[in-house]
Amino acid sequence: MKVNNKKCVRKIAMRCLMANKRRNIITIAAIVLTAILFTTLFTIALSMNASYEKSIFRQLGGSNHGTFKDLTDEQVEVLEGNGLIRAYGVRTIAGIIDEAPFTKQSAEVSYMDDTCAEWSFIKLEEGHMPQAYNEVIMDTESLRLLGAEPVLGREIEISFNINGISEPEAKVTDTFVLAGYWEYDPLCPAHYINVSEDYIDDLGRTAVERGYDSFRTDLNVMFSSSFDIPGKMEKVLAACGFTSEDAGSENYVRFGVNPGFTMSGLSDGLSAGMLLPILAFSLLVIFTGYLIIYNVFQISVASDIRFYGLLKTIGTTGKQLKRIIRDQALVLCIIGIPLGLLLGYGLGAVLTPAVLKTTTISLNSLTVSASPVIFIGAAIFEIVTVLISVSKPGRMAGKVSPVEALRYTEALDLHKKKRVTRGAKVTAMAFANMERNKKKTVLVFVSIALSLVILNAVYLFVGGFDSEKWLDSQVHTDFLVGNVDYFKFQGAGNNPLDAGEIEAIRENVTEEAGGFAYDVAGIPLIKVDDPVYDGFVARLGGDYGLANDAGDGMHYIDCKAEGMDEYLVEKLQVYEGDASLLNDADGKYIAIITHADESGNLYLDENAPKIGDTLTFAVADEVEVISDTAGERVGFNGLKESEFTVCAYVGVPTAIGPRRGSYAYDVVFGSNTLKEAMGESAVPMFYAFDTPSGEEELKAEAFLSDYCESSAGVIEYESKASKRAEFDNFKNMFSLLGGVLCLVIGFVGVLNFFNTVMAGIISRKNELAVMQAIGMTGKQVKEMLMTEGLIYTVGSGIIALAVSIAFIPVLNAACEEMFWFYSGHFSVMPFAYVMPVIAVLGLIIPLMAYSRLSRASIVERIREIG
Amino acid sequence: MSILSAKNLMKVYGQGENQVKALDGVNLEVNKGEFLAIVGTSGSGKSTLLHMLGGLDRPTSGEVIVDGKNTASLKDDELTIFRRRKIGFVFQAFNLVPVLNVYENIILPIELDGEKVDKEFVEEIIDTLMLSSKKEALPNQLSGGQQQRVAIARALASRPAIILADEPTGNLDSKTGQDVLSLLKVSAEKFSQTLVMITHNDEIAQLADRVIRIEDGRIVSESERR
Repeated sequence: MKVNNKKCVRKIAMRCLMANKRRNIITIAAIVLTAILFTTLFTIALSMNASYEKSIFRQLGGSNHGTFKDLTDEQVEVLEGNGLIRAYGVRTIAGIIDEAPFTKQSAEVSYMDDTCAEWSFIKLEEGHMPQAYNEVIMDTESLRLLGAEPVLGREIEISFNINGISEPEAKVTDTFVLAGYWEYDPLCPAHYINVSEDYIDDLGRTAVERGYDSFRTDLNVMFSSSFDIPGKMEKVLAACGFTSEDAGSENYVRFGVNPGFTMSGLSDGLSAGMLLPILAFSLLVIFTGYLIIYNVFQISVASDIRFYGLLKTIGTTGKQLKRIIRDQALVLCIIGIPLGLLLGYGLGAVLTPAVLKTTTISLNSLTVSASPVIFIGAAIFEIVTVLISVSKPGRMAGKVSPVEALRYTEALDLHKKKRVTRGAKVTAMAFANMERNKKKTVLVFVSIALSLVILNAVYLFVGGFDSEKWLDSQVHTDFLVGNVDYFKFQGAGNNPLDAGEIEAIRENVTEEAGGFAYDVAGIPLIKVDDPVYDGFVARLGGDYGLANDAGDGMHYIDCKAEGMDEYLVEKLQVYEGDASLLNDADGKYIAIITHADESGNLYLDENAPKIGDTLTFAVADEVEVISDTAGERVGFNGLKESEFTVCAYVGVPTAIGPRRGSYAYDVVFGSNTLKEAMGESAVPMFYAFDTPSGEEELKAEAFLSDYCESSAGVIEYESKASKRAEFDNFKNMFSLLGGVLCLVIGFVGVLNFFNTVMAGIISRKNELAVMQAIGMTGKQVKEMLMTEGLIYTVGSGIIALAVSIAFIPVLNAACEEMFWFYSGHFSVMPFAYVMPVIAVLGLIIPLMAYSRLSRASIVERIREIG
Repeated sequence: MSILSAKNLMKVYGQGENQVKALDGVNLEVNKGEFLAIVGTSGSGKSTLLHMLGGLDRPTSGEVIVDGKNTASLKDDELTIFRRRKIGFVFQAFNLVPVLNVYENIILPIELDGEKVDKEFVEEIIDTLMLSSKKEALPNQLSGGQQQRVAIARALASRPAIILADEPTGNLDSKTGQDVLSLLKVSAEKFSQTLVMITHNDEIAQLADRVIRIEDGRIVSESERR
């Protein structure tokens, strides 16, 4: 019922606000700084998520929520009008090219409307969408494959199979005019060759006349949110009178949901893993913000305590007083937060690429998220920080006793202290002054010391990343050249490395030693008995699907296999047995890949083949499901099998391993053994080599860099240098983020110090004037104030140093635990650099405050009632 | 009719040997519309008595009944609300809210209560106290006498049960003090207010209907003017 007293409270709050300029500026600065940290954090986190999603969508070829497939023009018209659909894009596919030059990745000839093109990540570098009848657009790689330069207006002849039917009659060859092109995206699953709507309509009619099915038209759709896409698609179909259930019905419409949205587990996993660091960081920011905002308000309430007491005397309740404080803080939020959000978003956008570089997500998936969650989340965190910070000063104002406030002076607890005769020495007085308000002093100490401790920790943390330790485990050869598939963890079975390419490379580099690694094309299998098979099925969670029977009571299970030249075999870690037997020209040996825990125990179950056992390795061309009276089971076609003797248990360094694994036992062969046993199925996977000198290494690096670039994403290489750069990126990210954090927290510390010193000196205006009146010279006053400043800063430094010395070993131990490539060391170097700066601040700020004060005469200052 | 009564009021500060009895069994009745002066030297306990009567502080024992309500039973915030509705204060140091102008200071207790301001009534008070030309001024733009008149207006504006004045002329020169005092008396009469004033000045006390002298926390004499 009583609402309008709020207005009155707000009025008082606003007026108080106006009267406290210095406090406001410092509080707003603190709010802006902490809001920057929150927003930056949220921007980076959400952008990482968005970039990750984008890279997934690029691999899937589209970012739309779902697709209604194989529609007639009439169906498209009905569906696109549905209210649930927020946006739609149409695509009609005329045909596919999977012959040369598009053998590696097929091309799809289609018409896309503008929306569909946008969702398919087509961003024209030059030109426009196909409009005239024979206009065409495609990616730069397709142009290269077709032997055409990216020049608008160029004529290009394209042949493709109608509806993807591989018959000579279905082949269409036409000459098009290049209307535009875009940068090739190696992640995209197919080359898109887009033609005009007129061309598609025309060709579609001809095709139908010639007896082919009409072209497939898909309607890609976006809904208002990605929540329950299948449900929404069903709803749309039902509303339009279609069904997705009865394939025979003439109203049957197929639809598909973009798997990017159903792989929610993946993207949730990413955010869950990031949650803990985000939380820890947020707490640090909240604490930093609290340190200063609390201090600022505490000082301001303490110096205005008589004012609050007066308000209480004439009838302002404690609740209303709290609200006066809180309202002031919130108004400062309104000013500070938007600025902090803006600056923080900018900073986050700048920092995101640096963070992204350290992940497997490629930089061209970089998406700086503009999700409202960033701004709402950061604003909420900031408001919470501010509310926490002002709650205690608010309580203090609310609890003020009117009688006490009427005679309150700031040095209230002075009489409690026992008097010690220290004389009137300036330093002694400075020390005594620090004791007057212990809480205030402690806050300043903590806030400056915190930034120093963090600075030192970041410095040590970044310096602790040991690139050599990391490289030792990551890189076992100076260079490693392979097909893109291998680096995408897909082996070489589908796209063997062209040995000719390696020859070309070897002619241009000087190598000290080198060797090939081979993959097995087809389906590599090992033959196992019941206990092993059961264990394997159990590891899969009993969800392996169909049983298989090799006929002799044995079973085939998937495995991964790698053949290695001697050069690579030497780099294996041998746990047990003799790996050198792998190179035995006459023997048929095989080694089981495993790894060991810290105490040297191997991750092998008791059923694993023993050294000296015989193991049957097989390769199948294809798998088929056999269904007969015995039930359903899996059969393998084109089986080739051969028996080997297990000679060793080995660890394969990740860099030269198959880079993927199975749930069974993965195996290594000597390359000759593998080639002999499996013939054509043994295909080159990568070639690794060392160079004899640093000079040759540089030359080879330069050559490979050019060579792989010109291979347009077919061949890639890894080198010590590129790995080191990768590691440096990782390291730089931490120095960058840590640097920003130090800077902001350090700034907050200085602000806090500034505020405390200024407020302290201003509230002691009378006192200082009285001192001067009774004979303290201005110089002595300045000396006293500067001594106080020095005690603050040097004291904080000493505290920080002590904390760091105690804390560094703990940090190092924790980091060494977390990152195996971390070598902790001890240093307090940052203190040496920062302490002089801080000390100078400790001298200058009190001087500034005093010079402002001394503009008024002593008499004026004494008269003024504080 | 009694609007304010204190029964056996005790206030003890400190403990044991340091114990100081600021009030030692004070009994007091104030009738509606009466002007009572409490005189005493500094340290006699008169300010403590005023704090107890005004609900600024709680007695160690005894009770204060204002307008039929026992203040001892109220919680802190209830006491605050009671104060702004029932009691108008005039302090020696004026104690105006520095960030609010004259008019806002006067209506502050009403607004804090969430009540509608009776503009006509407030204007009448302002006229009576000759502040019409200063309504927009901030406290620091006023002379001491003017500030005290604003304080008096603030005390009257919420139509309290009682006005408590603590040395209202203490910070003023004698001429201004007299002017302010007579305005206080006139306006209390005009708006039929009960007025309790503390002073150490016998001359000023003579303006009151009744004078109580307090020493060492006890009432030692009482005289009534006829």
